[in-house]
Amino acid sequence: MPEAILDPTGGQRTASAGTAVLTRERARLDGATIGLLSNTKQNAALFLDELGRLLVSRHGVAAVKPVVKKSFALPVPDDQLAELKDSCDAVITGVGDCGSCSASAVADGVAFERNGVPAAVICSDAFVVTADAMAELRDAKGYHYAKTAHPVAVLNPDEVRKRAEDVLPEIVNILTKP
Amino acid sequence: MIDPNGLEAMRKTLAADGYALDVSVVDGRVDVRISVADPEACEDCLAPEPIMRGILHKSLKVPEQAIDLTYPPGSVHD
Repeated sequence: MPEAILDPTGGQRTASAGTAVLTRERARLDGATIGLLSNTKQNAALFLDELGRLLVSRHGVAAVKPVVKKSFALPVPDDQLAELKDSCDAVITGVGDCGSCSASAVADGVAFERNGVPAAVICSDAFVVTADAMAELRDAKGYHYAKTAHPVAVLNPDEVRKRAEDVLPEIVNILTKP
Repeated sequence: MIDPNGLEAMRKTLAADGYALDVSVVDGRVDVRISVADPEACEDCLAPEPIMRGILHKSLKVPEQAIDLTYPPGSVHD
């Protein structure tokens, strides 16, 4: 059942399930610690590391905490979820650059949000079907994630850094805006 | 009735991982067969069966329990 949101202009708009799942209090990046949950896919760690570097240099993030997911095809295990929840103000995860890892990345994003941790997920655009289907399976239809062009695995380091730069504004929006 | 747009989208998604998808409906059952299209296809890129079944349900708009899912022979999911 969609959640009704009061509109200050007097109207009413309807939040999607994907919006309703978001942690109400979004992240404040200044002074924050951001978890970087990479999924072992080629270039995922570099992509997230570069995002972390940009968040520190441009948005006042105090620290990043890189964590490597145990299996890219499966949702984040409870112990890693708890570790990031306890030590980070927000989490970025990805890169969902295949069928199984795009689905599990979205499942992870939804899980972090439901645990009170603002999360931004990155998937490549060839896998929106699996990513969106997983959001629906997690009762979060319409869950918003950042997209980058497929493939990511074949990019050279400079190309990966450029992708990170390109997606940075959307990541900031997802983490900080309701 | 299978959603044709969802079927096409699933085909494209699986193709990006090096797989082909064949779907047929026989006596109310939805027979879904995934096969290797590219010898370099990454086995773990296919979602495990419970997840794949859910994804197919949402994409093809058919009941999960009506899907007979076959992975490529010899795959980790077979």
